[in-house]
Amino acid sequence: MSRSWLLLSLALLALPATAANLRYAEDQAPAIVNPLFGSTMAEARVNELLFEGLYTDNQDLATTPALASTAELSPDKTEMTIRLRDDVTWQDGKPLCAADVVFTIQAMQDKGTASTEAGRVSFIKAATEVDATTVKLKFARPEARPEDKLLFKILPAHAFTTGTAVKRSDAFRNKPVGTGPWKLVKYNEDNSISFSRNPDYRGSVGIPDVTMREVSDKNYQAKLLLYESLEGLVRVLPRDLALLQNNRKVELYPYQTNSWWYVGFNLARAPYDDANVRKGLSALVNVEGLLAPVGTGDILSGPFVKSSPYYNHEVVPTAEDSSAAERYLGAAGYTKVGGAWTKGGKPLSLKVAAHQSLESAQEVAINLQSQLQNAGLTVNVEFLDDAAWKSRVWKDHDFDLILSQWSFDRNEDIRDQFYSAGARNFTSYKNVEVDKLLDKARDATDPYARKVALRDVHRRVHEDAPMLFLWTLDSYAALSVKVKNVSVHPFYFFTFAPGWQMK
Amino acid sequence: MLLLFSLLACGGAADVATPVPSGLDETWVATVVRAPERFDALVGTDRAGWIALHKNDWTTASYGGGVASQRAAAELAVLHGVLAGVSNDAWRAIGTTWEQRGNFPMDSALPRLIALASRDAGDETAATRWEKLPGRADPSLDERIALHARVRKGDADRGILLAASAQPMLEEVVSDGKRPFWDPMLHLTLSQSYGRVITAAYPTDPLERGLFSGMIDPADGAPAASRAKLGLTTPQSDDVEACRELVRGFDRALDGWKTALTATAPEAGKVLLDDLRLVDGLRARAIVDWSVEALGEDRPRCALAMAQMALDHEHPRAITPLNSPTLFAVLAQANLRTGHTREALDALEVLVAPFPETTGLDETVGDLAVLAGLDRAGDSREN
Repeated sequence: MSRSWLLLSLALLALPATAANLRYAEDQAPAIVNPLFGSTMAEARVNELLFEGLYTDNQDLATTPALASTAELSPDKTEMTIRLRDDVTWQDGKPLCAADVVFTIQAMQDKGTASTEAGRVSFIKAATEVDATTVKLKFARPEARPEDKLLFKILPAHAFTTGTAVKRSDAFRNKPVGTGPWKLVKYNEDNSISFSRNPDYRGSVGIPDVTMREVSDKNYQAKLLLYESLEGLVRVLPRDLALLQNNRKVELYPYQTNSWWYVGFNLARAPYDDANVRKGLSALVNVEGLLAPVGTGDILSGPFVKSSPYYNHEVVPTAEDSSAAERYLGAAGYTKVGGAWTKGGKPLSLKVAAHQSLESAQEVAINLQSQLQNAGLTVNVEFLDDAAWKSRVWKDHDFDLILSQWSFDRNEDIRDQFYSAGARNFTSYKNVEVDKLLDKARDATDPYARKVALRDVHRRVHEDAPMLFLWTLDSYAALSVKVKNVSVHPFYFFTFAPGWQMK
Repeated sequence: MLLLFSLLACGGAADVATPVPSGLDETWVATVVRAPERFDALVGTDRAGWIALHKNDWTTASYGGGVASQRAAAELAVLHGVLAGVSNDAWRAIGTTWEQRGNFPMDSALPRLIALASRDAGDETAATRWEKLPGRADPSLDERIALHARVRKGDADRGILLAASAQPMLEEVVSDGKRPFWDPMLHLTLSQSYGRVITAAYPTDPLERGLFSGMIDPADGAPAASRAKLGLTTPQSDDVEACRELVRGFDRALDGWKTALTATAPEAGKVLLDDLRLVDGLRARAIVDWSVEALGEDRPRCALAMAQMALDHEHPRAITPLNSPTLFAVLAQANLRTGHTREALDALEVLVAPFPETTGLDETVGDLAVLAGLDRAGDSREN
């Protein structure tokens, strides 16, 4: 028996199904279960099972109250008074109260927390407790529909003992307490996480038990679904779509995560601070060649997917072009000696870092390494686990090039990635004109103005080349036909899962 | 090329096998597989047109002037009919969303454009209300409305409109630059224009009428009657699970029937069955027809669920022999009507290259998506 089949067999034996258990696969278990620090889609999905916001999306994707009961906006639209539901308790039995909302906002805003979600509450100037179940929010400027921004998850103040400066290492991460439809039962030795229905949840929940299973080799996920060792895949590899669509035991559900892959340069580090180097390296890459083993997808020229209203179709994707590469690298002072690009006698040598959990990242990174080496560069590739990624890429910006993917909700708000002070601007990209356009887009009250501004951002970012934009892939979930009444939220996935049923 | 080869290779007499009793026995697929010489004779009249029709390339198919051309025009009429629904819904939603949000631009032609879309949607009350609002007058808009009236009556060529649709109908100068507006009446006019092909001269022969279509009943009975013949229950409500079960039941019926058909078909028929993926084609097109029907009955969730099950997921962003243009139009309208405006753009984007006249609709739905998100805080995650 080959090692592959042995692994598959072991996986099939793990965690036998119960009639009412929904087992879904993630490439990698969430590194942290605390909405203050979530940065990956896997974490967002788990948060959706456990926590709730003041508001949420209904099935028509309209904002609807969740923990909020009623709200009143001041005539000048700078204050909102929110009364909370009085029938909500935390999973430890304590009642939801206004202090929880105030704590959550302050913790997100506290620089000591360094929350990845800080940008989502930057429009709130102050949050105060009016009484036990009433909160008043003051906004930095008038807000036409502030409820549309109040979808972030609320945390229990009583579960944190160190004030609003929360650490990633806080014990909450191991014993999260939410108000959501499921509660976390335990972390299992195989990196899976078991959840059970929250008996105090006010609404009906059709599936009693949910298990998140880590299946790091994505090639096995479809097989495990077909062998009924899983009931759900949150993201199907494009090459598995044919296999799954012809199987009557499985249903495919397309959904939109507005995701794009990229190779990002570290603009804070020489020689990648030189646009000629970035453009030269980009021109050495055959993007179609990188995409081929992954599946079919749209090759992109900028930071939006092609169907986006902000995608600038006049900008052409960067194509492999050896003469353009020579021109750009030459302008940066590099010459090709003995088949290798050098400057001042030193070869151009770079490191590409990729996250371990990025689907198909290994194939893409190795192919990228091969392409660049064939073009005369010295390239090392490293695959980082989540902790190393967060530390080196998010915190220290310690990398040459990164291979990664961003997913956006339907607003496709790229401000955090490309604003010079953006919280997710790992590449240290800075362009004053782009900053102005991003401000203009944020402040626009006319949809046409926002569209024009962001199409201009697309063009300018493409010209500056802080990233080589690669492609977008179609997002598909696959679920056993045993799972009924399925409706998938296009970004958070499990928002409507309480309504799902197991046959 | 494979199709061409198959079409060339399929001549000759065939052994007609005993039919397997099924509600699918009278479909065009059964005729083609059991009597491939009839298929050969028909496609021989306009090979390029029928190949294009099989590929769902209706624009090419419409050039030939024969039966395939008539069939393609009828398909285009349905396509633009669904797109007209998308357009009318999008324009009206722009009006209501912007009004609710505030800062609606009254010094604009926008109220009048929304009124036009409302009238085309049959909502005279809304049309009257929007017309009463102050708005910017524009003589070119009156000219365009008059042109639409002439094309709808058959007094002018739709080609003039198609040429004009490459650019915005109006561009208003505003403080941030230009605000372009695209023609809200285009797709209903095109639908009516293409639909004029369905006259007394439209083919009545079951194979001519049905080949590469979703028609199950050659008598062109209502889809519900066809489904009843297969023992399938038609959901009366917008019950997604019931609609998914309808498609699953259809799949079960097709699976068994295909096996039986293959066992009794002549060799030439089997080649056609497999190479042209006839059963898959019938399935996809029938489900799209049912989805259009569901949209017409105000069951958008059902329409969306069924259309997603019709989609060839190996090529989800391409028009193929299994993915018809109308499938993407249905996905667009069903998504739009269920609040998934951004997803509607995914479907429309597929249509823009083969149908450049949909550029304006794509931009208009994009405007709605942007408008709906003006007050939201975006979220982004890695992987």
